[in-house]
This record gives sequence, structure tokens and C-alpha cells, in this order.
Amino acid sequence: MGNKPNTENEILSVNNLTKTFKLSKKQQQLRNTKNATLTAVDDVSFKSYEGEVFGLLGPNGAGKTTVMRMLATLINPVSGDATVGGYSIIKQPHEVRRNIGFLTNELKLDDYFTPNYLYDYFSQLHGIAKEAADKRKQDLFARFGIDQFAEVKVANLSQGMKQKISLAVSIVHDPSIIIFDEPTNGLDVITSKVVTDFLVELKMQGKSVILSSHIFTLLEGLCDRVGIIINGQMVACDTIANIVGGKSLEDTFFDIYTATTKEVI
Amino acid sequence: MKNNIITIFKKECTRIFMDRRLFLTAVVMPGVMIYVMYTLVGNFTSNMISVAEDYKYQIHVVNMPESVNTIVSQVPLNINVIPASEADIESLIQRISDRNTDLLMVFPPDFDELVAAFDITSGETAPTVTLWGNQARSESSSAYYMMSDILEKYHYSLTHRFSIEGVDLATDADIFGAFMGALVAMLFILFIFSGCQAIAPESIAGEKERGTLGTILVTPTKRRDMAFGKILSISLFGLMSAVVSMIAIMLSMPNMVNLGSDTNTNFYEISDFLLLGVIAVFTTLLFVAILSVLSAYAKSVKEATALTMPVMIVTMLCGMAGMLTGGGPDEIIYYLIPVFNSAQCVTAIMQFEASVGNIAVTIAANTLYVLICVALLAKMFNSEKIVFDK
Repeated sequence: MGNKPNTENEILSVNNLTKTFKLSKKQQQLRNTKNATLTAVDDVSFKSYEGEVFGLLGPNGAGKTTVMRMLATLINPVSGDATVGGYSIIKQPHEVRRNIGFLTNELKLDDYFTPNYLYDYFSQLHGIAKEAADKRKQDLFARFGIDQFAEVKVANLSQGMKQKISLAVSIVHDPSIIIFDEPTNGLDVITSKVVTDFLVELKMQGKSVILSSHIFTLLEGLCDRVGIIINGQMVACDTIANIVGGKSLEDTFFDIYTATTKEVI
Repeated sequence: MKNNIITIFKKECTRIFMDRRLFLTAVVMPGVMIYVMYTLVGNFTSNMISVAEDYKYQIHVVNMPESVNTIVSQVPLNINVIPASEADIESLIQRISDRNTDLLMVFPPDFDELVAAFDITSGETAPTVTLWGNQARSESSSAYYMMSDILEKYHYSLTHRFSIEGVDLATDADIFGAFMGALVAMLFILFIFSGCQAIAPESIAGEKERGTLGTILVTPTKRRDMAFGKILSISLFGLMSAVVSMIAIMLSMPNMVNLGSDTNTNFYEISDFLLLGVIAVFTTLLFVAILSVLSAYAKSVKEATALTMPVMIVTMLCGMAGMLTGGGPDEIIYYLIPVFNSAQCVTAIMQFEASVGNIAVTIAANTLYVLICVALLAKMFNSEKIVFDK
């Protein structure tokens, strides 16, 4: 499907990223541990290439979102580094932000404003010239059916429409690297399909996409390569074909999960 | 991307000013309430103590001595002196008690002779004049003080061989300025604080709570630009709120202090108001900068509002210090103390004693504190613990 990734050109290089969080007494009790530190991401390394869709697969709490947040420079690793588009997330976070589009459910749009206003606002924050911003807004709003609701306050829109607006706003600057964290979470099947189709379009346009999800079909259908994260560790990372070895991604994942955690599912 | 300060400033202003409910409750309402409240209180107290200008005081006198009668007749007062006998005393006391008449003065018979014969060194009790009045009746209360004053002066002239004449050189402007300097400094500082307090917690802690702050943080906007954009927009709002409140104070003050519409209270010049405006701007910036840092530190709007309380107490103390010191101190070091410096400058301006040097130090000090807060806020926006900890 789409353009072939340029495996000679690394767009993302993650090197030994580690992230820990301090646990409160209450959190320690809930987790039944006396350890005051939680290692959310443990020495994770992987690469992604230009024009590739790279999927991060893992259960809830595995560390996918933490990796994505570190790549988006919202949080800092305790050790390790990553380069996104050639820029270090630690030393050049400003340049990283300029080159990525980041979408996650935890970052919201201000309910008080209209899609029109928010799009213009984020275009200006990215320093996009008005003419170019207007043209892109017109295209994206038409593509996602936002144009009919352009002057309706976000507070009065459906969850699906809000997600479409978040998507449009996250790529106002037409970034070459797109990082989407669980982009279809909580969406109905129609909106999910709109988002999935758009990811295919991005791949066709030669964009590099880093995608986290626990939806096997989404990753299987879209990704060139997949990394499987369990308990903060990257337990497998390769092309889909090499990882699944003839089985489905779902079966492969559960085999790996059972072998890694020793849990019986 | 310098324009991002303007972009964020414009967005924040739109958020604040287009929210009509917020604008009405935080800007317009305090001003209207101040005007209405001060005017009503002024009118109320005025009605309580005022006596009609053409009112003739009913003063009943038993055994009126010639000496006192002469003094009373020479004083240009609207008094009706009604002679009474000792037999009337009981009924007159009852009438005063019932608020039907104003005052009863009872002199001993042959008062003038008794006074002339009295030897201060004899140790005997001096001739006594008794006055019955009723404080609950304005007319009675006024008559009491009027006659007490006359008797005091008479008493003074009998027992002293020289008189003291005090000449108060204070002009109306000085008296008004002293009053305004004491009161306005505190109100000025408090109203600016209230305006800032109404919006700062919402603007930053609110964004954190709603998850909209992170959406901006993932753009290439510099954290410093975000801090500036937010502080400037909140300051504009705080300043508007303070200006509306101050206009309300100025308009209602003559009513509050019962100066009446015919009294000239227009003692201040444009330059005084300009200086007040300058102090207002830099005080607002300081408050917003401090409250923004607290708001960024808080996990919710509720917590942010609670964190502003200690600042409000310090603000009140600084405002009251302006009332107690009765004018700005000369030492420069006092003008380096945030908030206190503003209160002292306002007091000095209102008392026509503004010092450009002290105001300049205040501006420089506040600017420095604002820049420190901006740097701190930018650092906080970079801290995942601050931005994402819930």
C-alpha cells in the first residue's frame, strides 16, 4: 500500500529511552508495591524510516503513550535520547516541535472557541502565512466535513467531530513526521474509518507516521513495521511480515505477551 | 517567533473579553456595586446626622443667667431659647426622652453671683450647669454639642487669663488629599488584586485542568512567549477591572464623605491621574505575574484560588500600611518592597506629595519582579510535573 519507505533515511531514532515516575503512597498501595519509583519506559530503542508507518503495539499501561510524549517533547526521559527528523528531543525540542504533528486524546481543544478560530490560532503559532493557512484549512475542513461546523463552538460538537478538529489542528503546518497516540480511541466506527482513511492518505503522501494503538487490525492494515511494548520494554520490533511469521498480528501479540509476562490469558 | 506573544495575547483576550458573563461579573459589576454601595452608605449616614438648615433648635433654660444669655444672643445660631421653671424640669426631661423637644439647660439660681464668688482654691464644688439631651435625635444631639461648646468657651474665658487661637492652615485640598491618600491606597491595591484574582487562576490552572495547555506546549511556541502572552492579556483584564472600580470610587467618594454636590473635590490634575495609571499598570503586571506562577503551580482552579489567599492578605496589609504611615517614607529601600511600594506611591500621589524618584524605583522594581516571574513561569511550562501532574 502506498509509497515504499526509504529505509536508508532514518526519520526517527530512539536510543535507550528510559522514563520513571515517582509513586505516591496511595499509588504504591494500589499497585501493591513498596517501590516508590515506577519504570514506565525501560531502555527502549527503535528506528523508523522516511515514508514509513511505524506502529507501537501494547496493552494499556505498557508505556506507549509515555514514549509518544517523550518523542513529542512534552516530557523528558531520565536517560537515553531520540532524534526526530534529525533533531534531539533533549537538546533541540523546539526544532522537534516545529517538525512534528502530535495527536493524543489527553490534549484537548478549548471548548469556548470555534474550529475556525482554533485552526487559525494554531496556524499562527506555527508561523504559517495566512494565505497558505487559509488554503490548507479549506482543504482539511472539507476533507473532514468540519466546514459545516466551522463557526460552532467546540463545546457544542460531537466527540467524533472534536477528534476530527484535533486531527486537523495537529497538522496545520503540514508536518513531515506525524505522531498519533491512539487516534481512534473512543470513536464510533464511522469516525474511526475517517481517521484510518486519512492515515492511509498520509502514507500515500510519503509522510512518516508513528502510531500507537492496541487495535490489531488498524496496525496490521497500516504499518510497515511494528514495535511491541510490554511493561515498558520493547520486546519485539520488526516488519509486520517478520514479526507475524504467517500468523495474525493478534495471535503473535498474545504469544509474545504470554511468553513475556507468564500470564495465562 | 516573536509574533506568538501577540497571537497568545489575542487569543487570551478573546477568551476573556468575549465571555460576557465573566466580563460583567468581574469588571462591570464590582464598579457598579461600589458606586451604589458607597452612595447609599453616604446618603444613609448623611440622613442620620443631618438637621434641616432652617431648623430652629428648641432649648429650654431654667434660671438663665445674664452672662450666658448675652453670649447666646450674640451667636448667629437658629435657636429658640424658652425660659422654664424648676417645676417644668420633670416634664421637659420626659419630652426630650420622647424626642419631642431638643435640650434642657438647668442653671443654679444666681449663677453669675455664684461664679463670681467661687474660689477655685476653696475645695468646694463649683456651680454646676446640667444639660439634658437625646443622642438618638439629630436635632437634640446638635443642640447639645452647640450649647456645650458655648459653655466651654464661657468657662474657659472665666478661668484663664489668656486665650489660645489655633489656625489650621490645611486647605480643602489637603484635607481631602489626606482622606483619599489613606483610604484610596488600600482600595486601589485591593481592587487591582481582585481584578487579577478573578481571571488568573482560570487562565492557567483552568487550562491545565481542561488539558488545553499541553496542546499549545506541543507547538513550537517558546515557553517564555506563552508566559508573556498570558501575563499581558490577564493584566489588561485586571487593569480594566481596576479602572472601572477606581472610577466608581472617585464618582461615589463625594457622596460617601458627605461633601455635597456644591463642594469642590476636583483637586487632582491630569498628571496625578497619569501617575496613578502608571502605578496601576505596573502593580497589575506584578499581581498577574505572581498569581500566574501560583496558578501554574496549582493542580486545579480551586487550588489556585486558595493559593491566592495569602497574597490577598499581604496585599491588604500593604494597603493598610499606606493608611497607617500617613504618607510615603523617603527611603528608597521601601520602594523595592513589592505591593507595599505601590501602596506608598498611591498614598503620596493622593496627598499631592508624589516623588518621581520613588515612582521610578517602584516601576523598576516591579518590572524586575515581573521578569523573574515570567522566567519562572516559562520554566514551569517546561516542567512535566507542573503541566501534567494531576
